[in-house]
Amino acid sequence: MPALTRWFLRSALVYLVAALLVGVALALPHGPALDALAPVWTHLFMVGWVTQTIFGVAYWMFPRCSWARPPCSSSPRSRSRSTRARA
Amino acid sequence: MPALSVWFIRASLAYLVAGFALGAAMLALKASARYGAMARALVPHVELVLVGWTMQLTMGVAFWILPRFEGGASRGAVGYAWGAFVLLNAGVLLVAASSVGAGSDVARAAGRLAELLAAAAFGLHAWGRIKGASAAP
Repeated sequence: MPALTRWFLRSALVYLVAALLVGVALALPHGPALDALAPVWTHLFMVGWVTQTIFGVAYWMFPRCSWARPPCSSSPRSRSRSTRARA
Repeated sequence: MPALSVWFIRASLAYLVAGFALGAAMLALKASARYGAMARALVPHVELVLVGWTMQLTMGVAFWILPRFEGGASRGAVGYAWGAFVLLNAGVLLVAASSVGAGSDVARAAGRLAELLAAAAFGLHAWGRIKGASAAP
């Protein structure tokens, strides 16, 4: 696993824990001041956890590009049919 | 990676940028008097990020990764998956446009219906490909 993926996934886990902590705080009886945390919970979860996990896994798992493997360095229209079939 | 996955994933990245840009604009204008008009962007912001980005990326990767039929040669009923791509994008754009512009409830409902049909179409496509370890890879 590449180092950048490890950074993405570890920080995503931190955001997940933070989001769930905020979720617990919102679930408990609370005053109106704490209602402002609702968008914080959404963003910790959707951006910090979901999006960051996607970035990390995509960086790790998606096909790699190089000049030796041109499909990534050319537009889809310019690829030959044989290259597409191989994918 | 198959062509449909490329379309799904590139479209999802476009929605990610658009959704985040909309959210950033909302935050930037929150302190100004113009925020009243910008508050209407909340529905499109959620729609772009939740359906346009995460749901579409999931479909694109699933179409690519799920087990194939006939020893890996076929992805089955591909037409349903293409239909899901068209319906999902039409739905997201319809909901977003109807929420920001002269929003008509009928257009928004039609957009949501298109998203529902997209999910159903993708489900029909993917159902047979979700198999255990004994199935063909």
